[in-house]
Amino acid sequence: MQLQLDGVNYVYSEGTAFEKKALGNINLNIGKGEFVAIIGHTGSGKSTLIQHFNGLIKPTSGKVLFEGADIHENKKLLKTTRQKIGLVFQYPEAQLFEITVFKDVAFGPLNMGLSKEEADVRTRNALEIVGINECDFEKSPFELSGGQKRRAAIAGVLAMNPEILVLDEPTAGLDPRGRDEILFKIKEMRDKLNITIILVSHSMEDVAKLADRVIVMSDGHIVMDGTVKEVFREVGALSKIGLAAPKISYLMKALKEKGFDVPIDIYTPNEAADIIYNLLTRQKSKSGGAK
Amino acid sequence: MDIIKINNVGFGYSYIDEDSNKTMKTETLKNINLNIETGEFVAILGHNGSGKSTLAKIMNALLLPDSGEALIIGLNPSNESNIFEIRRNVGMVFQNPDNQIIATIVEEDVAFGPENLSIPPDKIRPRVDSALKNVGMENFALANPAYLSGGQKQRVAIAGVLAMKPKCIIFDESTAMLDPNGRKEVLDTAIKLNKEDKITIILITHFMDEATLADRVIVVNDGQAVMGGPPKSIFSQINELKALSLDVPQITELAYLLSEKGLNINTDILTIEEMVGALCNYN
Ligand SMILES: Nc1ncnc2c1ncn2[C@@H]1O[C@H](COP(=O)(O)OP(=O)(O)OP(=O)(O)O)[C@@H](O)[C@H]1O
Ligand SMILES: Nc1ncnc2c1ncn2[C@@H]1O[C@H](COP(=O)(O)OP(=O)(O)OP(=O)(O)O)[C@@H](O)[C@H]1O
Ligand SMILES: [Mg+2]
Ligand SMILES: [Mg+2]
Repeated sequence: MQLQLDGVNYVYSEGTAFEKKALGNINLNIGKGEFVAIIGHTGSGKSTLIQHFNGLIKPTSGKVLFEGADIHENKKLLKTTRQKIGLVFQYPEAQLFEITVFKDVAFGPLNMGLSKEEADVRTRNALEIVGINECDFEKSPFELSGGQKRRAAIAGVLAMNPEILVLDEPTAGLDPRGRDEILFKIKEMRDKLNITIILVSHSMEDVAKLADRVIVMSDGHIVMDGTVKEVFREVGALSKIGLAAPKISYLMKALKEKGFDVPIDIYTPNEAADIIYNLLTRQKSKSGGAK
Repeated sequence: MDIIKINNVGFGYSYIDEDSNKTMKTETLKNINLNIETGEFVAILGHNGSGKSTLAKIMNALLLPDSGEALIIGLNPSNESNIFEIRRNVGMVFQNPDNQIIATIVEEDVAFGPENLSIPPDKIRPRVDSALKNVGMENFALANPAYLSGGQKQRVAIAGVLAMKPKCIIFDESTAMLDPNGRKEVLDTAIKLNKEDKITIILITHFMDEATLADRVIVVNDGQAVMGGPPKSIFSQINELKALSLDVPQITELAYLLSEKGLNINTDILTIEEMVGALCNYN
């Protein structure tokens, strides 16, 4: 396994009045090239969990293994792991710090020891992927709009060419085109370069469209782990823990209740359109034939 | 009556040009025009960087127009003596639930605004109680905000605004970080404040589904208002919206896909109920 968590527990501010157990006995294996989505109610522990993946947070107990080695075994291993596992934070402000957008994105590659020329190429490429215009390259990251900040933060991690890309709510604040384009590029990186993608998201629609595997967190525990169909089938259990299934599946359910012969585990408008079209045209040709 | 009038407003942020070392200005709002009626529920859509948050800050006098005129609750923010009254009446709720709450007890946080208005303590208590009740958080008055869910935190932030007794609340992507339940809590609260308490609501969002809840949708593009109308008339223009980096709700997209395949389906369907109705009556 590329990434493995063994019995990970995490407690914030242990031993103080603010002590908070955020993760309980997490066991998890993620293989190379998987596209994994992590969903869960606010405060369920998603951000805490993924910060364990590249060693930003050290488990209170338990182990995090990257390619079989405990990433906290020594400083050197921790450093190389951080370069291979890129993490885009939930709040981009936590990630942006350089005086210009360009320098901010170039920081990672330069820090990895790339030449200025190589770093420039990667930086331009990453900024183009996330749709930041050349005229904003020399701006301070703090003079960007909310969505532009998020794009810059994503670019900073892409420029490091990580082997595992971990994204915490990457589309929050993006306009619809930005959301679709960036998610498409990420999917493409997985399909073409076999990069492992771990996506934390509150958008069930995006998750259904992209992920192979969905992990559901609730109150610091993994409560479900399966394919998109396996997880979103459990509408009752999901709604109990503050989640929902993708919008289209509620339409399919409503149609079924009205007597339409449709499956309910359908999650995208395209799939739904094919099914409804076939159903209605078949009905029509039948009733036409009877006349 | 219009609670907000934005007439030909121009606004730019100052920056220092590296080459000439001169102070320059961005062209962020370009003679933008729009009015918001008292009691309306308006959604504002627009691409990243189009100027929505800037516009919101003009609306509550955090920024002042460089040119043109803004009239907020009938007051001109260019007159400094009006600014306090404008800010009290036009509240804002932002994206990040964690950044908006400062106190370690919910009711203290809600009392913060009225305290700043120098309202006497015996008048603050009832305001705080009624604000918390209004957002359905009265049972959490003594809770530590750190232990609330994102949706609950946002409702506390809304209560903090309500305690100022505003006429208008601007939600600047206030649901972007919330799970499906939290998003619903915040939207239900906004709808209730609009319907029952007649508070004007301005909802800035990138979720097309949320915009369908509004009376009117305004689309901002490059610092100008380029489309406006009821959700049905806006979302039936899929190509125009896509050209502006926007989209339509998923149910509307499905209606388009079906009509493209040759089915006779209206493309201004916004909700599941409407879609079920249309398919049940299909022949
Ligand atoms: N620095 C901290 N100190 C104390 N408690 C914390 C800290 N950061 C997070 N927590 C708590 O740990 C729990 C898990 O938080 P986490 O941020 O991992 O949740 P999440 O699933 O990412 O939520 P969201 O969907 O809101 O981003 C929550 O109860 C949170 O309040
Ligand atoms: N403090 C600032 N200094 C300079 N330019 C700024 C500043 N704040 C915003 N801008 C610029 O003004 C433009 C409009 O920004 P604004 O935040 O209003 O956009 P927005 O429509 O809210 O975008 P988003 O959907 O990403 O939140 C952007 O090009 C942005 O880069
Ligand atoms: Mg989080
Ligand atoms: Mg904004």
